[in-house]
Amino acid sequence: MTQVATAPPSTIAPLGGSGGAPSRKPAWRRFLGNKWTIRIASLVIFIGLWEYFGRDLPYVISSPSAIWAAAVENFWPEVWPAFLETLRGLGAGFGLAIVVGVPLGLLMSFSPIVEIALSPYLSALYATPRITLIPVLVLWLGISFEMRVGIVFLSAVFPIMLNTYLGGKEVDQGLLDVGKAFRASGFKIYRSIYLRGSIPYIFAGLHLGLGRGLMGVVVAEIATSAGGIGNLISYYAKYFRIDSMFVAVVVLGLFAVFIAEFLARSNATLNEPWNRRRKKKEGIVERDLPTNAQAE
Amino acid sequence: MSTASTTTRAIRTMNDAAARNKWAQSTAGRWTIRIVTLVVLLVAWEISAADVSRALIAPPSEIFAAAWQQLFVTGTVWGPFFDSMFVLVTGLVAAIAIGLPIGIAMGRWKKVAFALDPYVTFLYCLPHVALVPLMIILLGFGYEFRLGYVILSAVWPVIINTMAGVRAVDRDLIDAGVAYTANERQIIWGIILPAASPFMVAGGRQAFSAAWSGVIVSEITSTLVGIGGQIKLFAIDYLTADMFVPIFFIMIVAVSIQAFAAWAQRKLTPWQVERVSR
Repeated sequence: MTQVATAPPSTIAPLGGSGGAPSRKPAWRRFLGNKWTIRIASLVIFIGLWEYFGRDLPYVISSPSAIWAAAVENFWPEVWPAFLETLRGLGAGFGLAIVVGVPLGLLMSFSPIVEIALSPYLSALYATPRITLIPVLVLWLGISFEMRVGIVFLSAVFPIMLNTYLGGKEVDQGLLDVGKAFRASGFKIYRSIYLRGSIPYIFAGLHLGLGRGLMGVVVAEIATSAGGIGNLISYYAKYFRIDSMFVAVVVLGLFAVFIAEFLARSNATLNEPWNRRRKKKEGIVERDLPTNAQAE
Repeated sequence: MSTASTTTRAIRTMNDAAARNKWAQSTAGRWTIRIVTLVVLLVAWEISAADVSRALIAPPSEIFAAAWQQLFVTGTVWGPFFDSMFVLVTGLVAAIAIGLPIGIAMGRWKKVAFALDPYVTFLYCLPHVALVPLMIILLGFGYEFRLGYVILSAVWPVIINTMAGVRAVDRDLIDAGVAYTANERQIIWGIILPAASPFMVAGGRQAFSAAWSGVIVSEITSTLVGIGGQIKLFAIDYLTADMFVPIFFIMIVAVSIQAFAAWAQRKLTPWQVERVSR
């Protein structure tokens, strides 16, 4: 699956200034080299080409103007309610995954026996494509809201658990010893050292989990007919309403980009105050992050 | 491993028991714990499945029987499996072949990155399965669709890691190249590619796992082909025991792919092990 949790490329390695050395170049060249000029020009060319070729192929790739018309017509009556439906499933499943995954992950990092017993299953289930479980869930829960919650839960719980577990293992032994030396209570040690120390990891897990949860719910909706935006996409495609289908795809994609950006930003503000030093390790925790481009 | 301080008493007790018990840390202890867990899980499953309808769940004993049947007697699992593997390998190779040049270009030239990053960000974040209906219309239900979907799943980690790797190349190395009048081609082949190779290998590793997911998603959402299609075929007929065979098969392949990719990464870029994998 995609690792939606990775920061979108634009934030991975800031490209520095927007036009090289500005003092030597004339104004028009600086304008041409500006990143927004290039981005907008690229988008305009892309949309222009799409419009040009799409006019003749309304049932294959449609065209931006038709998509806009479809958006005006269908967004509120059809796309928006389906989107909310998807969000409900995502929210319920993700909440459940947090409630189950974080305590289990912490338990695994506390107790060597639980760790040894469960880690093979955790890594196997973490690696498995969740879509394999959709037919099983359909058998058990039917094509229903619960099935969607179940698939989001299964997609999100393993990344959350794995990262919480790794975070608990990474808690600085020196800090624990200091806490013990100053006779901190068990709760205090838990709250101030364990929880704070592993929050960046837990957060990385939530980040990955939310992306995978979104993926899971859309896969479930497309593979079965459980309603929601995925189902709407396949419904539109079935009746060759490609323009409306693109409306739903774009809404979904913008939502996914928003989630990724939002999480990347809140991650920085949340974790930096007391964990600046840890940033480097974070790249390692999410095993599938591009090494640690951010830490450079 | 002397994690003695913990939160609640329960946890402390458990921890102390484990710390006192050196046996739990030894190889023999580890394997005993693992095997006991496995046996407990299987027995619990067997007992709980005994009274439930066969359409809903099958006990492990029947799954083993079905697996034996499918693997060695009728051999029905192998055809779809090799079918899937073919798509996996060709898709992965194509994704790498497409992703590397794009990633290098985006990492090397800022203007290319500015022009392409709206699309890369959007497509990378979008759950790819949302494009399945469109791809079916464009490519049909056959091999082209599955190949296309695998590429769509696997190409982004390659692009993004390559880009990050090219950007992370030490500025001094490139300056030294420029000072010795290396041209752009020599800089890319002689400096950037070797220096960025750990990132590319890391990207390839992620792409491998992503491609396997892509294979399964494309098989389940489109036609009933390959090992993913087997699951759905058995599910439709409520042959639950048979259904679990491809599921476990897919799990085993996924785990092997991860292990193999990690091994290959250690072999290819041994000096990066500390940073990249654990």
